[in-house]
Amino acid sequence: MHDYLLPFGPQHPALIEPVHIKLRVDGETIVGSELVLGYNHKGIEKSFESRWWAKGVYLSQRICGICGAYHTSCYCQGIESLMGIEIPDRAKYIRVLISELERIHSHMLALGIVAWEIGLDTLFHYIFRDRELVMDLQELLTGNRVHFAMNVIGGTRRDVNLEQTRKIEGSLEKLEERFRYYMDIFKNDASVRNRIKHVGHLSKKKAKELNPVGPNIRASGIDFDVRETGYLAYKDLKFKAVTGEGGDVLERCLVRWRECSESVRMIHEALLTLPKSEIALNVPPVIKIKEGLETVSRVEAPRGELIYYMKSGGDKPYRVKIRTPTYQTFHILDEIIRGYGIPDVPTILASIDPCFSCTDRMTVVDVNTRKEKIVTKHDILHMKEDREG
Amino acid sequence: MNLLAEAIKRVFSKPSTRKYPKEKPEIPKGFRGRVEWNKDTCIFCMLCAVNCPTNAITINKEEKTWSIDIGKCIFCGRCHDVCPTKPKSVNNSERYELAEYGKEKFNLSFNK
Amino acid sequence: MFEMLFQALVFPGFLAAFVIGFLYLGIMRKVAAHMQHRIGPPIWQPFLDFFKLLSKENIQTKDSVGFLLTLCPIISFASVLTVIIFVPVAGFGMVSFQGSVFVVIYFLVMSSAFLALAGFATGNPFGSVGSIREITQLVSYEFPFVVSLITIGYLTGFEIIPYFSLHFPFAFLAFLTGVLGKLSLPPFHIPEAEQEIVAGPLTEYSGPRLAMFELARAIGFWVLISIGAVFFLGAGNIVMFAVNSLALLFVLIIFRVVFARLRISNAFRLYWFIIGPLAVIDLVRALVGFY
Repeated sequence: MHDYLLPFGPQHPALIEPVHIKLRVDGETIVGSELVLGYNHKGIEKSFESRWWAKGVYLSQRICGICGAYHTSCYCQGIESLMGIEIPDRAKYIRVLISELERIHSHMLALGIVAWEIGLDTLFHYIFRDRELVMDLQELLTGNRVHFAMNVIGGTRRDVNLEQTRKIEGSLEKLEERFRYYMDIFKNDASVRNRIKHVGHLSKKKAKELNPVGPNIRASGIDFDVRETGYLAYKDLKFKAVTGEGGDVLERCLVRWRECSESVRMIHEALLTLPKSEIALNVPPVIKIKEGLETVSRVEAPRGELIYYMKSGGDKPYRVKIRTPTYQTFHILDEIIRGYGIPDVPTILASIDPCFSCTDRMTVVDVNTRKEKIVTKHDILHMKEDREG
Repeated sequence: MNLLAEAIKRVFSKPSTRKYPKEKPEIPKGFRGRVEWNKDTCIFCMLCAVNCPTNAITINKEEKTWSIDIGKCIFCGRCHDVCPTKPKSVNNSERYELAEYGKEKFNLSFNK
Repeated sequence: MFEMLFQALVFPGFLAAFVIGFLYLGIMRKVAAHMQHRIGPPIWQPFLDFFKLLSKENIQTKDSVGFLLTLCPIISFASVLTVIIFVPVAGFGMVSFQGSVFVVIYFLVMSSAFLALAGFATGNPFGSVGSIREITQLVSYEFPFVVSLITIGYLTGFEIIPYFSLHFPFAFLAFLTGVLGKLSLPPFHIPEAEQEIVAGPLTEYSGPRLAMFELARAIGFWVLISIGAVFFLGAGNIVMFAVNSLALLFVLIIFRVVFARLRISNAFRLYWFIIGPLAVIDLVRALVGFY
């Protein structure tokens, strides 16, 4: 019996963004996989270096449409620590509010796609319909459905008023009921369970070795959530990380549903205990930071830990390095895909909630040897030195 | 079987789809639509042009013109934030239907 | 002679099958869309799709086998159309003889088999996987499907005539799931699982050839629903036929809306080890006259 190569992507109905997975298939069983990235390189890290700090906020938002608020929040947090300022309490709460709303809509998107990948369009349509409630709330709060532009250096842009609070509470109540309904379907519906239970298994031991982030590692029973460090207002909101057990697709989905409920709880609490203060510090448009200062800033995005490394170059960054959650999570793909069938590939891929737009790095293919290599800035500098020296 | 119950219920209910061109969505207060300029209050301080993340705004001080390239604009609203006049001279309107035939129509220029 | 031609070409033959088949598909899409809380396409959308495909060009890849590419859709379409002759739709029977059930079974298998062959002929990996699945599925659902037809056939002299057979519930169940499998409807839309293998056997097809397959599918839909309405629900006249076939259509829509796709291994096990034996129980009951 010989195996054959089944290309999965870069153009494939199950993929929303281009990625190429070479699947080695024996009959219908997958015996190996290889991930090829590089279809979505945008050069954002480099463009940070030619922008003022404050303009970079809007660029960082455009790394990813789904977790834009996290990117800006992480970027601003880094700059604030470089400047040595502390944002007002109310701004912290509003940042949490926006982040958690975005987490709900991101998780619902991921879970809707899981439902679609198992061929159950109805569930997909229902989840996406209910997701509109969150999108409307976001539009109400920030003035836009996707790119919020809510975070600025030194705080947030807009305040939350009483009327908005009431609307949020109303929508969230509806949503909470729906979360219970969907969780019940994922847990108990036989035809859904058949497709997602005992599929894409990641054991606790393997999870520790490969170290994915976000709901993917929490579903394997490892308690790892940046929010537990209590940045922004998470300390006051008594956040507790949601963990699961077993680490199959179903568990990853359930962890996401439970996180949605947890987010709803936190938003309720944040709205109740919203402190009264300014929403932003007065920061000048052009910020000057001592050259050579560096910082690492991290937040918990819907897909896991998001890290920004920043080094100051005066009024612009000298270097911004972003490590997105999916980049860290992709290591588990081969492990959780091997041994399962072709029908499970889309489901498993959807269950780790990949975001290729955030993840892609530059890849260079050597034409002679067909070897591929990811190029970092360090390498480019070396190349330059080699050529000069 | 929860799914079946909802599916049967939905056969007779109105679809949740909004028939967009016929039925306009409700725009919340503070929506960030197309940027509009108020010629009476503007003092040509250049702050909006300098602070625009995509350099969509250009100002000619001598000729007193203010122009914006809607194709470049990312609707972040920063020009509104930095505007020093009271009331603000640059505002986000509630206009969102911005499709046009031809790129040149995105270049909007206003004279004082 | 003229009457015969009219029956073959207009009603209940080609033209009626063409119009009603696509109409059924349109109704299915519309009702399923409403169940999913959206508007959905207009009911005549399948017609528009069909005529659009006819006006497009045939594209052929380098690896494909040219003559099979043209032959498969035609045979697939012709074989389901032939089945119409043996089904007394709404009381208008054309040809009827003892043993016509077997002819129907053979023609229906032929349609699926040529769809699978069409997938292999394209030389596309998705097409090949889709064809393997199509064949596997054929092998799976054929057992309960044939058993259910033989059960009722035993009582009618293996001739398709109106017969009310709901006292054989398992046979009816086997027939219904067989229809789902034959038409690749959820939860058995395994051979053309969009998220896994793009469009399965039809991945490389375009233009009139794809239109032919669409037509074969629509007519297959109409034929199988007609068989169900006549042979299992006993529709002898036009009113009963309409009511029965719409009821069957609704049941198929419910299946489509509430079930997720099965894996091919699940489907095989379901057909052979659950539905198959149940159908055999009804067959035995029919043989010994216990009903």
